[in-house]
Amino acid sequence: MLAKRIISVLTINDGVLYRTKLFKPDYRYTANFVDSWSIDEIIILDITRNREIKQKRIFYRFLEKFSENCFVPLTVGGWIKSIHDVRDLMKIGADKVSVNTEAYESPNLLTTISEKYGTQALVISVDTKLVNKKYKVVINQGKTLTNKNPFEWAKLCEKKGAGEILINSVEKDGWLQGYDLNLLRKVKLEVNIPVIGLGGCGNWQHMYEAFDSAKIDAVATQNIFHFTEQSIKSAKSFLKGKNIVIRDC
Amino acid sequence: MIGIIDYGLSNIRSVGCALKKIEVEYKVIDNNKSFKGFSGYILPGVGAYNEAMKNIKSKGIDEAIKKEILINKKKILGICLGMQLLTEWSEENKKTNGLGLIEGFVKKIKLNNKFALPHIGWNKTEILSKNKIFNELPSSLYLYYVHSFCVHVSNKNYVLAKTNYGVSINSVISNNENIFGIQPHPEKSQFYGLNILKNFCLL
Repeated sequence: MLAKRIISVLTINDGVLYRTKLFKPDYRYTANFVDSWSIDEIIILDITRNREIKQKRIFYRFLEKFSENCFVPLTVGGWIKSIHDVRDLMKIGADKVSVNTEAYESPNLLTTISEKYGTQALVISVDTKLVNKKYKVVINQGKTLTNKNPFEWAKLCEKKGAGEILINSVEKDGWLQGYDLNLLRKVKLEVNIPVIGLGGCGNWQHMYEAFDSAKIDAVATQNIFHFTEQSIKSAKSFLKGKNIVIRDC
Repeated sequence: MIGIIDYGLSNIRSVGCALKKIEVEYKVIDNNKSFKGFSGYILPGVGAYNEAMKNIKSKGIDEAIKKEILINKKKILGICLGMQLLTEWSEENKKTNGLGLIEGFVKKIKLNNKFALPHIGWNKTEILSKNKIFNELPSSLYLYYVHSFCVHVSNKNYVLAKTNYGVSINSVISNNENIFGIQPHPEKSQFYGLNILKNFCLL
């Protein structure tokens, strides 16, 4: 049986690892905290704003070093504008890429990437915000509110070739108060590709809720694994105790 | 010395890093003249079948592989798409002929709505064979899958391991001699995956 996945998201700003709160960088920590043996998957996002060629090089160098000892699947996102960016990232260790704003601006990018690398190598990342109790897609790292409904957008992305959806909520980001279960549940019902929930995870119970009540395929968190050693193992034994199918490690 | 075959699409580096970790010497090959002096080959795979075959053919790599595997009897391990390329054809995007090293073909996984597609994640894999490629591994283990298409083989004995995702999926196939294919990614399946790679290299 396919196990539910626990994914660690690392956000890189100017080549430095950050965590974020409300989509703003919070404080530093280091990649050494990531127990890359027991985590199921890792997503690295370059959240550098106004990225120039220099920052790009720094990020690529970071990635190249990181991937050398990463024996779990590695998804890389941020600033992917063309198929050439995808090729470069795949060369230095990415197994999948995640696109967000660029896909919003030109949805055909999804088709271009999936036709070349297969849908399984393409994650569509969707950031959402609640406006008057209605979910809207936000782009540009949370800075630009759009009028698009994330559920319709998710469906379109699936049609255009996305193989997975990483869905995040601006309000929940960094608060450790739990995932937006309503949002995750609705996205899961709309699409037939795997759904990864991000934003708000503060404890193992939150993960359980996302699996049990929103029925999603994977939970992602960028914060809570960095505080204690063995935390991924502890999350896994908690979830196992609640009869969630999880990979032993 | 293992040759990693690069046809321009794959996650070559992930496979290279894994071999480095298990202390196996390797070289990346990207043209048909370099198929010399290797004990075996790894054909990695991320990408679409038709794109991959187009690249392989345009570099003339297909003939070089066939010569090494079918005539010189060198060993080969196809990973994910690489495994699929070992078969005769696939229906991905449009019907495309593969390398034809092993009798079989590739079709999209048939699923009901309960199962998401692509099949992504760690799935329990059941080992059905005593082949040396599984040395020191438990008979049931989690490996990382990421694919929408799967390999069908006509000879039941070619199936060395399988997994269940609503339907039964062939995880490892072999002609029980020198040709191996693995659907999950051993280079991304931690200890067990590295163990499989090591076993292959030691064959």
